[in-house]
Amino acid sequence: MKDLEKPHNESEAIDMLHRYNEDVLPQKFGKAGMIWVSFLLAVIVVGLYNYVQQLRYGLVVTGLSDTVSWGIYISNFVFFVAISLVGSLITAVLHLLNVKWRAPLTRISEVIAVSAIVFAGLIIIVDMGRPDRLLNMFIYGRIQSPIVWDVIVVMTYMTISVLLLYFPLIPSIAYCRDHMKNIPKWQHKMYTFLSLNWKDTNGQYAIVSKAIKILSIMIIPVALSIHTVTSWLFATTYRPGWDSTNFGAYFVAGAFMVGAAAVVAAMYILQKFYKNYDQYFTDKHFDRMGKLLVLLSFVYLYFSVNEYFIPGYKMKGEEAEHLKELFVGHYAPMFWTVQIFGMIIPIIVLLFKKGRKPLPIFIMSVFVILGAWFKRYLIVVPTMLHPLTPMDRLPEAAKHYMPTFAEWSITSASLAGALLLITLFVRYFPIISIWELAEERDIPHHTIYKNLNK
Amino acid sequence: MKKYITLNRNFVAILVLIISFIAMNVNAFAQEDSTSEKQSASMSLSYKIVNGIKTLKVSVESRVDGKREPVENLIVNLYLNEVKKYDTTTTTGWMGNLLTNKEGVGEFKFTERFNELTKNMHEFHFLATSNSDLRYEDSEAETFIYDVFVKLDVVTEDSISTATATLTKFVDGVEVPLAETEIKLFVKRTFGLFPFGEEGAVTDENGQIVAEVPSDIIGFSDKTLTLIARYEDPDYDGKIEASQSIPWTVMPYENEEMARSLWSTGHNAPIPLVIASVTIILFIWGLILYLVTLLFKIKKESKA
Repeated sequence: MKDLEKPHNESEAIDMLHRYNEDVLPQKFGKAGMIWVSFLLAVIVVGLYNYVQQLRYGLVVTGLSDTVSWGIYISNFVFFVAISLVGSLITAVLHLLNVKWRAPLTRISEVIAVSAIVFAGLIIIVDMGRPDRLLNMFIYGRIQSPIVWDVIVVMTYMTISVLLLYFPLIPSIAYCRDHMKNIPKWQHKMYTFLSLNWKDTNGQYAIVSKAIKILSIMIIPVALSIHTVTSWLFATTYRPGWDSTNFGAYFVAGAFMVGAAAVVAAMYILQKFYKNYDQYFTDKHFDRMGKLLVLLSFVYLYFSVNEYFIPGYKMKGEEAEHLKELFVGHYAPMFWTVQIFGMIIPIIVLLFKKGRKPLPIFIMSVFVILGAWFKRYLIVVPTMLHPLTPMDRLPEAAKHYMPTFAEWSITSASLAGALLLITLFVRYFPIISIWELAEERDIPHHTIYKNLNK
Repeated sequence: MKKYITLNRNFVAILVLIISFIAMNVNAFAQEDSTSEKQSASMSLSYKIVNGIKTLKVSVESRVDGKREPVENLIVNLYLNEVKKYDTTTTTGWMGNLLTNKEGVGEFKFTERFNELTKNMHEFHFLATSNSDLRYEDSEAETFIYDVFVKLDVVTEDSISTATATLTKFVDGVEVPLAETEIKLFVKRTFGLFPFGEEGAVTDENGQIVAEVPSDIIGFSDKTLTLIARYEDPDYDGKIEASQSIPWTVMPYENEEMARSLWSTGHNAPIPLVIASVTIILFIWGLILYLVTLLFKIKKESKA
């Protein structure tokens, strides 16, 4: 399929619809898929074992202390929240802007968003020493607390993301229900249940279109809120490194950047491992996503300069100590690696057309994703090691932070869990929304509705 | 015939001698064998208070090839005798028996009935024995415990409240003060205890510790303050407490102008914040609810 291939008549349109549908039907895992799933499951099992140990013995199995009570768990939480913003970017922002090449990317972005936000919610529970007291936050929580705001907004965003994934998915599930033969009974039952007795009626399409329109609008403020509120968890304190009015915009910009990178990485992997997918994720999609990524990277660079240049110019008190640690001190190698490989090099590479070819942009996206994870670590940990109270009398162990194996394995399990959720989605559901793709190709609605499920 | 009888007598005598010798030796071997089969076992008896339940714990182990091994399935008799002797023939003071588990441990938890029967006793001598086990030699262990009492008195004079905690124990049936022992004093708060008084203070010769109650501490809404004196027994892991509620007039400072602020309690949140957040939440979740109803509509639409 060429980019924006358009049918000349109805019969061509019908042919296209059938071809698209057959192309994106879920495929069984090959050998590589099985190895991948086994690997993810193994990481999850090790993480679960260590989480049971953490539940049994408490947070003492981690490297966390009274000083650094937010370590890699919270870094990971912020990372997940950031990634999840991609759903609103691709599905909502590009949809409202009527961008004509976004259709193949919408579903994968929503799946990434849902998986990320689910695990963001879970990892925050993992960080709790007493998760059994979670309910107390709803009973005794203070509406003045940013933590309460964050819980509310995470739950809201998760619900909206699930709905935004589900509504456009219903016609595709119905197609699977009617056309996928030789599948286990449970799989057929699942399609039947989830397809809500879909019959391709005009009324049903009208409802779905209306729901998508509402969701596309409402998800944008909620998405901005989720990452802004997450940034306020930090910015509402006086701590050096966090005491910033720039934090909301800075976090949102970073989130859009890493989210776009995650979609590019997913596109590349799907294109490599599933036949025919290269017809949907074309070089032009990579090129446009590359341009979008470079634009978002520039926005993030702008906020990063604001974030570090102004305090760096003033170099006052505790803030100066914190910045020295980042610029030339203990965290300098990580800080500069993240800035150079996670932002500067991707910007330079993606400015060139050749850099926006699938492989280079995939590599740059991986750099951006890894850089984003470590960037969150640099936001959380160094500041925690600069408390406002004196540290002189603290035991030596409380002055440093080194995540334990248990902590790493639980964190890795959460990442593996998110990847497994995406993988299983791809295994059982069409990853491209054909009816949205057809709309994008200017196929008339009545042709789509009449022929999509035939 | 006579010759025959003589021979026969000699034969019988020799035979009896041989049989006797063999039988004696067999018996001797048997005794030797049974003695060597019985291994020595060492027993220990400890007393703990776990989650407020008094518990006697018996641990039995033996040495096998120089290594300590737990003794499993050993019947251990427990005795309690207030005269510090027990009669092995009449089994006076016998409390019952228990069986050791895989770890060589057996526990006897004090039941309500046991506590009721011994409520007037303040000194206990517990004895654990194992007798006549086919595998192990007899062994025994004992432990002495005594009840400790904490009393708390609070006197208020000229708006200053003074807490006096007294620690006593029974020795030979007489209650005597327990000196040089740490007692901790606390004020009960909603989710924990707030310590007051000198840190690490120990009782004087009268078994007493005296501390001034902080005058600025905030009381409960019923205008009371609950004080707690706690003795922590390091040997038994037990906590013995006495508490007293006193009338208290110091209540939370209520600034009429700043009653509702970002730093006040949840129910005193600023009104604009409450209105704004509730409105946003209701609006968004109202829309979500509406969208969920659309899902049902999709299903309904197929029947239309």
